[in-house]
Amino acid sequence: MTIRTLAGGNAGMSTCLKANAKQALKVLGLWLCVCSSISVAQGVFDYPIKTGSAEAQTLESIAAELRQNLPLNAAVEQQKYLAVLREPMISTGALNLTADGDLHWRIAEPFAVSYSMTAGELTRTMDGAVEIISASAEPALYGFFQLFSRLFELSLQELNNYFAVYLLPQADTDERWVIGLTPEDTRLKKVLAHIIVQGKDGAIEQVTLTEPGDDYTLLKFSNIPADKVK
Amino acid sequence: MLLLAIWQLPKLALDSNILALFPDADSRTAEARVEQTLSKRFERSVVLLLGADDDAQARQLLPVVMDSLQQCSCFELTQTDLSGAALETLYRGHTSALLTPQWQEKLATLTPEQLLDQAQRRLLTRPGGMSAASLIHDPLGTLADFNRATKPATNIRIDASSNPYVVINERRFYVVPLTLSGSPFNVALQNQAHDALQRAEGIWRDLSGAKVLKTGALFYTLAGTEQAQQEMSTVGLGSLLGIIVLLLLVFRSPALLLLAFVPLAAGVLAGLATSSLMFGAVHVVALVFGAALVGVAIDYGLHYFSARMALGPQWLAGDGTRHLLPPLALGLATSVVGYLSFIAAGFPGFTQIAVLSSTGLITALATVLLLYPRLLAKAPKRSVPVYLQRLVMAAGRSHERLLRPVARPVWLFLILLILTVLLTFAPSSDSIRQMQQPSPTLVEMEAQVRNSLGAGASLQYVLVQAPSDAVLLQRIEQAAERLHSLQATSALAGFDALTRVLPSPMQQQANRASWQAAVVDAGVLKQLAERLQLTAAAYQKMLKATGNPVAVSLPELQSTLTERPDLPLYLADNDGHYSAISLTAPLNLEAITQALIGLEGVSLVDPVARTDQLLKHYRRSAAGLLLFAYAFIALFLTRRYGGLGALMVVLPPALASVFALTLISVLGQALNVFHMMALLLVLGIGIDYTLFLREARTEQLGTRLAIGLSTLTTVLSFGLLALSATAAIHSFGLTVLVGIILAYFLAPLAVLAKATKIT
Repeated sequence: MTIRTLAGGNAGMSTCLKANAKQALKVLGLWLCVCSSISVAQGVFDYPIKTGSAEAQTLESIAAELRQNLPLNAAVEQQKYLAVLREPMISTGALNLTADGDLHWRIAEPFAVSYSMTAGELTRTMDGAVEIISASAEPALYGFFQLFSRLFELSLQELNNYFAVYLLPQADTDERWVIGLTPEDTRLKKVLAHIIVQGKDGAIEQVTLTEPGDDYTLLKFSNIPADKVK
Repeated sequence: MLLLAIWQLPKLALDSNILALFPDADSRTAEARVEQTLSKRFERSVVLLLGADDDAQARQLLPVVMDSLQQCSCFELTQTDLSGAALETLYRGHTSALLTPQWQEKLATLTPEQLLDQAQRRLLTRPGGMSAASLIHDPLGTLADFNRATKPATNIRIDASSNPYVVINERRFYVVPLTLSGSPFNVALQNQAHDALQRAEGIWRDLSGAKVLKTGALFYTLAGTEQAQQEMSTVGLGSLLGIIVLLLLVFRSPALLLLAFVPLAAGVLAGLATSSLMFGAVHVVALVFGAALVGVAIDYGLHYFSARMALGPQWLAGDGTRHLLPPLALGLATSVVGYLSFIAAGFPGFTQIAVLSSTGLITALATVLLLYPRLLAKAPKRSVPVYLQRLVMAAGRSHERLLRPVARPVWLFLILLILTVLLTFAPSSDSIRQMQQPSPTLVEMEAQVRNSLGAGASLQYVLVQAPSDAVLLQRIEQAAERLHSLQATSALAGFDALTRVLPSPMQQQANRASWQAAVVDAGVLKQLAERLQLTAAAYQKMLKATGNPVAVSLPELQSTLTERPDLPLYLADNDGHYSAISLTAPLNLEAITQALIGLEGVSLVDPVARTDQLLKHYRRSAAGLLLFAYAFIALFLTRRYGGLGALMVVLPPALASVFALTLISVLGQALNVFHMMALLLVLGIGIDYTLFLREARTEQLGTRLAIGLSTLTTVLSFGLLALSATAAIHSFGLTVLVGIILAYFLAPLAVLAKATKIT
């Protein structure tokens, strides 16, 4: 996907996020392809998961599939859409999640910087220098990594501590699943409106983090090694 | 007196601030205020580190432990806003003015291209991305770095459930910070806290491999109280029982026993009430020593009872009192004159001791003279038992036989003079650390906790004062610059100054100028906006949001600073503005003092050295005052006994004192202020012995019995303090023990020398 199409999608997507999903589809037919996945995903917030329900079991089976695929190695592309920018900020790199929950995020482009979250300790390596990032020094960044490692566990019990969890019923034809999270913790509410996680076949394909307002971050995961795909 | 006591005692306030003992207390108000705030922060903080084998179990039990601790009203919840959100709000818009020293240097040295690259890398390589607000307000990340510098520099980490923890020997210990709701010296609070901690520890100990490390002044005061209570219950109870048995044995009357303590109680109450009226608050040191000196008052009763019993059926209260009046009045007058002469030293502590003990003694004697003749008007049923009469008189005779050969005034004065001079060369010690030795386990645990937390602030600090907040910040910046250059050497490990939270208005202006030149005028912001494709409106917003031309001022931060005990202290009142720069050990005090020379309003404060200095002052002046008091009393007695007679009355206690000090010195103890203070008691009691012997005419039996009993009771009540494990109390007790025994033994010299002169 080129920067141009992404930029074009930006305005449409923000409208989509604001408006009712069905109406948006009618009005913005031109951007149908871009909007469809997001608008379908938006619908997820109509389906809260109750503990002990069938949906909770489905979530658990999705999580079990995800866990089976650990360690996870994926290419990751981050697209940051801000209303103050005419074009998104994009970075690409690789992500590695071990079975122990350690997370390594190596950004290759446009600059080489890597992050590691190991046993609760976050480090950043830049120009060969390793720096420990404490929760108190960079709470937002630290919080992002904490959230991210938890996201891959998809433990309903853990997620419920901070979020209301939603799951879109799967259509017969499409094997994609969509999970929605809205923060219930007041601190999280200040920085996050909601999260949408989409995936298929035991792998997370896309995560959208929407901030209160129009800004959001799109994380796309791909190139999951063939032997890890069921 | 009774009215005064009823009026004053309910509002009696005790002062434990060591600075109040300095003669120039007024000039130290700033220091005292800063110190009080600092020590409150320090004294009230309690930190527990809880570790266990299984982290998951530990995390589950942690809230239970916290709940149990918070149920005690003795602890306040420590809610330190470590996120620094309040400061961040205050800083917003002042990006160009708030630069860390590192950024000041970067802006001065990096090329616009380098700055641009760094900014872009920071914005584009952040998982989760940067919010629009951060981008607009802090395009280069300078403010984020400034904010980071305001956070406490500790080793504390946060786990997935937001619990703070540290790692010691590869093991996780959860950090539980607590704040006492009052002073750790408050015994009631100590007990509550002790119970609450025991309960919490009990809960934690259920975990396998549970380990609890703790630190805080509370644990030292708890240990101190425990030791004091233990000594009180053994030494104190032992000595009280001893005195009761002794008095019952001699006087065989429980009523007399009670009566003996009435003047003493009246004296202490009156002394306290008068001191409270005169000084507002009585210092703990004055209370302890003042009350000890009033303890002499028990002797008044002993003399009265002994005289009455010695006369037996022939006792007439009126005559008896008249006979006792001269020695009692003289004894009182000499003690009061001696103690009041302390006021000349100008030390508040001595003045309070003088007032407390003098009014106490006067009241005690007044109580004896008013109360005893009425209550003890009847002649006693029993006179002195024969065995006791024989014992006392025989002891008196052999005592005099022993002393007679040495009763040579010239030789004795020569010995006194030589020993006094020699004693000025005796090793002395004024180190507070040597006088109160805390338990090594506590010290070791504290060091371990402090190391693991990474909070190693030393007791010494740099006090900065200024007439305005702007000047204060400027002076701190100057001091910080000097300290910074020391940091490169081994003279100073680190320091923490207020300017890391807020640069001075001048520095803020300089920062804005360098931002304007290196970031705005050099086109860094503009190019960054272009590279990121920032909208035109957003770029304008960015320019405005980073360059507020008004400086952030210290008063704006004041309320936030008071909520953050981890930040450098700032205080302001009508007289001025104060701040403390904390220092991290290891440090070289001399080098720091040298480095700070020439800076106005900046001084290094060393509380430990200052306390040692204070003890030295008090030791030296106590020694001087003792000499002065002896001279004064001798002069006072000259009218009654003539020159030599007066000298011979003061000689025995003086000799006893120098012998006692010499013995203690020879035993290898360095002399300290508590040895000297004990000699005040030796003077007060010893001079009574000689006066009574000198005044005793026909009442030899009563006098000797009373003196013997006085010696025994003094040894039991004060001398047994020599058994104390606290060095200060031990020094005091040992000196009284040796001094009083010697004073008793040498007392007859006053009469023997007189006789020598007459014959």
